[in-house]
Parts: sequence; C-alpha cells; structure tokens
Amino acid sequence: MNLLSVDDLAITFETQEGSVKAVDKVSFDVKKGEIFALVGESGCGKSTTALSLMRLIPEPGKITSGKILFEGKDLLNVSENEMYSIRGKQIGMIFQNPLDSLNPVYTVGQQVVEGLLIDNMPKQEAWQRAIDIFDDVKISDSTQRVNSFPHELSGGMRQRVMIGMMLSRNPKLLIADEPTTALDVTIQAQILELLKELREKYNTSILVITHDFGIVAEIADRVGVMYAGKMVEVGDVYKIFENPSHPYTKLLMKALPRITKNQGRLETIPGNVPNLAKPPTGCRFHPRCPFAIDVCSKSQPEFIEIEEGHLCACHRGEF
Amino acid sequence: MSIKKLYKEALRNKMFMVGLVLFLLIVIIAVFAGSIAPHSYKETDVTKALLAPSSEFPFGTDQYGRCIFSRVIFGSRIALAVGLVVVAVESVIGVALGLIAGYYGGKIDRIILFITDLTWAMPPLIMALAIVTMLGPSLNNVVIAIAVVSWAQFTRIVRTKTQAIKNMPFIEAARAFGESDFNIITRYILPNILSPIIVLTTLALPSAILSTTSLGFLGLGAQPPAPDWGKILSEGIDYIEIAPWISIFPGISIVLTVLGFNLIGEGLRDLLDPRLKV
Repeated sequence: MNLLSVDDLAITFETQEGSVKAVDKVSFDVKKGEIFALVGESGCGKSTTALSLMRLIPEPGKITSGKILFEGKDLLNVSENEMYSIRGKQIGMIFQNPLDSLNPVYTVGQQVVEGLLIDNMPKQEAWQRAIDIFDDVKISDSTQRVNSFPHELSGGMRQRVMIGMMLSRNPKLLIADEPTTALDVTIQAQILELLKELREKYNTSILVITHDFGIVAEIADRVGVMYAGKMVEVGDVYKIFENPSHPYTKLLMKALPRITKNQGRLETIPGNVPNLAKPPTGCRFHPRCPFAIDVCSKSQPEFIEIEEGHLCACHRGEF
Repeated sequence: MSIKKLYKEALRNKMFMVGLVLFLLIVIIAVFAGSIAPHSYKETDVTKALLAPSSEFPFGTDQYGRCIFSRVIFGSRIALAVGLVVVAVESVIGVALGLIAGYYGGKIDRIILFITDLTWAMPPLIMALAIVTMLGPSLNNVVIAIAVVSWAQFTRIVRTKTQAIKNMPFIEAARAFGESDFNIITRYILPNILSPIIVLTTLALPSAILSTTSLGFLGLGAQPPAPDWGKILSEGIDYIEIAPWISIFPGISIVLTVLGFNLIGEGLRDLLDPRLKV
C-alpha cells in the first residue's frame, strides 16, 4: 500500500532569468515500510522535491501543479495550520549537515523533549523517552549525553541525535536528505545501518535523497533516478542495478568507483546539467546522451515499462 | 563557555571590573540614598546658601541652601530609574521589530526598515526635545521621548542577526520538526542572538542616562525640586564663578555613571563573544 504518492508534481522558481522548472511532472510512490531513494546530480531537483513534501520550499519556489497524496490526503490542499501538525508528527526530516542542524543554545535532550512536549507528553515521561531514543540511535552513555550541547558532540553523534529527534514523534515517513554526505565513510556505514534498523523498529517508511549509488545499493528497496527536474527511471533496486535502462542511469553506474575493477581513469558523463531556465527540447538528457537519435530532441519520452516494477522514460529504452 | 570560565575571564578583564565596581557603587547609592544622604534633597535654608564644601555639606550648597551632596545622592535614583525604564521600553520595541523584520522579510521588512531609517535620520536629541515640548515637561514624557528616538539601533542589529540565523540549517530543521513561527522566533532565534542584545542594552543605558540629564539640563525633565542631575547642573551654571561645586559634582556623577556602564558594556562584549563586534 502506498503511504506517499507523488503525482505529476511540478515546482517552479520565478527568477529574474525567467521561470525555472526545478521539478517537472515528477511522480513516484513510497510504500509502507519501504526505503525509497531519489538519486541524481546536484541541482536535479531531488532536494526541492523532498522539501515540497513538507511544503517548505524556499521563496520564490512554487508548486504549480500535481498532487502529494499522503495516506490518501492531498498535502497541497491542507491548511497551513494542519501542516504544522503534519511536519514532525507525520513526516520527519533529517538534513545534510548535522553540524548545524541542532539549536546550539539548548542541550540535545531538551531539543528532543521539546518535540515530545508538542505532543502533550508529561515532562518526566518525555525525558525518559528521550533517553530511550538515544539508546535506540546507539548513543552510548545516553543518560549523560542528553545533557550535552550540540558542540560537545561529533558529527556522527549529532546526526544520530537528529535521527532520534525526528523519530521521537513516530512519524510515518522519514525524509533523509543526503544524511551521510557530511560524515566520513565509517560513520556513513553506521548511520545507514542504523536507518535500516530503525525502519524495522519504528515501522517508518524512509525517503532517502542522495547522489551516491553506493548508498542506494546499501539501503534502498526502490530507486527513482532524477535528471534536470525529471524522473527518468524508477524501479526496484535490484532490477535497476542489474538492468539500468536509461542512458543516464547507465552512465552514472559507470561513473561509480569500484574497488574490484582496475579501470584506470574514473568514467565521467561529458557536459553539464542544463540550465533549467532554458531546458533542452525533447528529452532533457539528449545533449549529453551518447545514444541520442533525432526524435530525442523533438519529443519528451513517456515512461515505458521495461519489466514488472521498472519504468524508464527513454525513446531508446527498449534496448 | 562555561560559567566558571566566564567568571575567570571576567576577573581578568580590568575594564569590565572597573565598570562593575562603578555600577555596584551607583546601585548601592541609589538603593540606600535615604540613609546615605545627610540632609533632605528639597529642604531650603537661605541662610546657608552657596556654602563651599565642608564637613557638614561635603559638596557645598546651592542658592537655596540645599545640600548638593544629598541632591546628587538622590539624583542617582532618577538617573537609574529613567535609564532602566527607557532601555526596557526601547529594547522591547526594537528587538521585537527587528525579529519580525528579519524573520519574515519581504514587505514587512521593508516597512519596518523604512521607519527605522526615518528614525535614524533625525537628530535624536532635537527629536526628543520636540516630543517633550509637545507632551509637556515631565519624567514620564522624557521616558517616552528617549525611547521613541532610540529603539532603532536595536532593530537594526537584531534584524541583521536574525537574517543570519534564520538561514541556518537548524531553523530549517525546526520547521521540519513542526515548530510554529512564534516558537522558532522565541526559542531558536532569540536565544542565539542574546549576547549582542545584552551588550547593546548595557551600552544603551548610559546613552539613555545622558539623554535624560540633557533634557533635565534644558529644563524639560524632572520638575523642581526633584534632584535631576542635569537640572542641578544647569541651575549651577548661573553661579559657576562663585559656587562652581553646584555644577561640578553632578557633572562628575554623570561622567562616572556613564563611564561605568560603558565599561561594563564593552567588557561584556569581549567576554560574551570575542569575535562579535556590535
């Protein structure tokens, strides 16, 4: 069953250069208990998509069309007041930079308790719960650590606190926007492991935003690949890794450094992400695509089903 | 920084300590004015007019035979009370407007900024003079006038600091956590910009006292026989050649008070955040 279902979402930023379609008719679903990963380069609209789920896109961004169905309710038609009760309570979000994501003037415990008090939990119970949550996110010495200030903790610890803080209110969906980008590799692995464990324990669906296929392989059940504001390929993680169908996905996979293969120079995708104020006609990837044919520059490809549970938007996706 | 470390740093900061001593001295004098002053501040005795400082009248007497020492002692109450009330009023107005302007931005910001700039553009003392003349001379009106002309400095600084803080990731995280705007402003932004506000407040106090005494000097503050320092000073001007002590002692009191608060303000600024320059 779908917990979240994004349908034809379009987000436009009105800038002086004209309107920029940062997200253009993106659709995807997140099922109950699933980890869904949105992958793409910087500026492809993945973070904007994530923020739009909480209706927190910064000015001058606007959601121009589409639906965001969360448990069947369209979040775009909900009042701002109701949105306050959805943020944090129904949908939690953790951010890229754990170093600055906590309020520096309160102890980390106070910050977790703060959220629980919004839910009218008695104070004593809230503190006990904060300590339990710190145990859940594997912070050692939790009874002491609740009294620490953010600057007294390491980056990995702070991300654990952040995750704990967001999970404390038992949201049904947790959005993790590049949760490990600012952390070093060993801590990355621990945090990903933790997210997987917590999904079981708290029965939360997780939407991971990342640019790293390594993280996708590690954690995701299903993947959506975004390019220049468009979803180009969606599917089960095994199917996509086994049979990447969109040329962009193929090239991204090639660009992954692999320890097993001595491949000399790391592969790159030639060219740059297009300026979204003037997106290329037709398929947005065609200027960089080695397989492009005439039709690619003329019409936008529709999703076709490559195999069951694996969609790809490419005119040449059949091969 | 821990409290202990702050305490140690404070002891090492000489300017701050001098300021603190002066400050405590003035507060003690103001609180215990009744027991310190040897005479009443308003009792006149023409037979003892214009006496030079002596053991009976440490600061001498004025043209009505009032003890200048007692008047200066009681005057500290007026200076402190007016200063504190003015600073309380202007900081509440200024900080609130600064937070609102900085946090919401856009049209609200432009309107508040326009009013702030307008206030900045007026010479403060002349503006205060105009307001007091309009409302009539009294201590209450002095408070209103000074607060009206000086809240803008708070707005300016608080607005800039708010703008810097509101783009920090933890504000975005707070929003994603379901916090309301009011909570974000009061629990996330305000505590993070508290140290510049504290410093600004301590620096605003001496200038408020100066403005009060200036208006008193011009006869627009506390009305006689209230022992306003500025008023005493101006009364003494007529006798400056034969009885200079009438003006000198309230003058010294003003200088020491203002100096004390300034030193505390500067010291606090260094202590609370060495990187921060208000």
